[in-house]
Amino acid sequence: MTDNQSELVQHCIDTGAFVSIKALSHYLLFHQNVVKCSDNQQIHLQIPSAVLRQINGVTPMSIKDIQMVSHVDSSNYDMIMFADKSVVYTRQRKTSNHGRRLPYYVEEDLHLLESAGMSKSEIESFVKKFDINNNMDILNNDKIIQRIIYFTDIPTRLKCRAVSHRWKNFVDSSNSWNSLKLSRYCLNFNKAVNYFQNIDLRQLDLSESSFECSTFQLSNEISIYSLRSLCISTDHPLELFTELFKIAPFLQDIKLIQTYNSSLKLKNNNNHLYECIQFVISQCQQRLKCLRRLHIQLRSASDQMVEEREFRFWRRLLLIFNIFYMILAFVFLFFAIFTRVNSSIIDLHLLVGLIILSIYLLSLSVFGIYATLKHHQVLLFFYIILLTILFLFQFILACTYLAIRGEKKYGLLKSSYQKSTDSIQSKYQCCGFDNSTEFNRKQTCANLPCCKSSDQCCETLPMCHSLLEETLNKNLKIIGSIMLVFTLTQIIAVYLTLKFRNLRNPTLFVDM
Amino acid sequence: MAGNKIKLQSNDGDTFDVDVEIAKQSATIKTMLEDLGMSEEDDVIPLPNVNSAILKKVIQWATHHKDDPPPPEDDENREKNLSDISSWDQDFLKVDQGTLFELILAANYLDIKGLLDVTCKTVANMIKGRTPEEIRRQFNIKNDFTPQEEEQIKKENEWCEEK
Repeated sequence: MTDNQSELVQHCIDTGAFVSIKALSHYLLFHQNVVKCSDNQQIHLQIPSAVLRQINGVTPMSIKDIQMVSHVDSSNYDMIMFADKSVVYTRQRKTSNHGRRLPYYVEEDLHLLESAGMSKSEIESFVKKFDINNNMDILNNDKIIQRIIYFTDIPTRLKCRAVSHRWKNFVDSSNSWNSLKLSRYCLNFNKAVNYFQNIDLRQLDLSESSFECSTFQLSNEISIYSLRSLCISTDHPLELFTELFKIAPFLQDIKLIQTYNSSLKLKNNNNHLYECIQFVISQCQQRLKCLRRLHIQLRSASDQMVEEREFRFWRRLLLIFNIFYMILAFVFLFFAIFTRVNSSIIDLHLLVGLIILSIYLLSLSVFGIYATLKHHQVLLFFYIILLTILFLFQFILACTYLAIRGEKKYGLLKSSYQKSTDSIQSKYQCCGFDNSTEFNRKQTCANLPCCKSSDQCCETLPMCHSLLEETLNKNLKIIGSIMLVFTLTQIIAVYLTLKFRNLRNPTLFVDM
Repeated sequence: MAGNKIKLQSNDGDTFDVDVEIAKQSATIKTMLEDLGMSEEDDVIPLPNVNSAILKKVIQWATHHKDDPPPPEDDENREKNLSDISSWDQDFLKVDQGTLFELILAANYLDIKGLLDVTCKTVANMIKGRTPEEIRRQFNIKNDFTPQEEEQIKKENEWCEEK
């Protein structure tokens, strides 16, 4: 303390307007206007907190610590507070700059520890710890590494995990790493749920599965809850799930974890549940593969068998139909040639039509057989179109055959009779067309052997018209009916082809 | 007591006159000033963990950022933008690795959140895209994994990376 300050204190004391106050071990000089004394001798001081800290550090002062005392020697005072609350420090601050360590301890702290009965070596180790703490190398400072990792992106974090144990721990303990893991879990569960939504569980042959029951069980309540929610989220009946869960208990928890994970509220106090979840996750990952493999196997075994049988059946049916058409085409061809050779009743147009039809049919059936064997979608489509055209064509033809009546038939018969009178007359043993036409029997039927021998015989011969009509009617009826029946089979063939075309070729499935 | 200056002393004895407001960006100095009070003009705050070159840089940074709003609270869930280092900071941090690490230590010691963030971000950018081996070499870290553990981590990482 300088002399100046001492004089100032003494001067203040001499004025008599100041009171001395002892706060702990410090003597303070206050102007009497600043100090208010209450009835019970308690002192109310309005001292700025900074001043109080200056006196006493950070430890709070109680009222008991402050006493009003009589004036002491001027050199003992630490501080003067004037009436305008301005403050003058009269003594050097005790806390010397020398040796003070930032941020966490000062020399006084060490004295305090000493007075509290701590041994010197303990205090030294305490100091050492603080000093080391402040002197740490960047790579030994957890806080800094954590901070650096906090600022890295996910791919870098993954790499940091592989650096060393310490770094791995830092990454694993960071929040965003946990959320990343959780999001991955969610992804997997979504995959699992999607998987179960997409497959037909009925296709799984549960009796043949070789799953061993998991030893791990969550509580029943949770199982029921997750079972129900899984049933809701997918559209399968409850029984199927019950049966499925019997073979794979881990499935029960899918929805639960999904719900839990989506909330992303994984805290340390939920460690048990977290472990459970992790267990289920690992189970899921393993079993899902098994299930998928099993599912594929079952599909290839059962589904494919059914499918293949079906496919083969339809293919065979179509082939038979086509072969039938082929035979029919030949029949038509022979029929056309036969009728042409044996009689000239059939009109040339009809004959040409029949031949065209049979050739068309023949090529169509060959085409159809090829398309069926290859299961070629485009060829089958064209096959259907050609078949439809054929159907229409044949239907019209059949109708024409059956519908020839009256005048038209008469004209047809007459024209064919006139074309080849002799051959018809000799074949049917008739003479003349009918009564409406004037003719001389001797002349017209001259080529007939009957008419050559005796007149009697020639006179008794019937008219050709009635005989011809009878034969024609018979023939037309036969051809027309056959054609009509045939058109019906064509409708069936079109249907078959459509059905066959929509079938999947099971040989393609094997390649999957 | 406006425009107050305080003196900061580095561990090699140099003292720097700094505006109180600038110095208060350091939570350490701020706490100290508030707890111990401040009155004497000749009060020197010694910073035994910081040398004068680093302290000079820190003061330079703090002077530039004295008007910045206080940094937001740490929240891992908020969107982290790694490239949000201002161009001034980028220029400021174009230093060698040793200096950068010392800056980080000083920022950590003085508890200047803004400086710590920006320096850590710089380091994070430095290790971005590096392989673990490169990170080890850069920071001189010993690989203490057994081959089995390494395989395990690799598997875990693959699991995390798969889409």
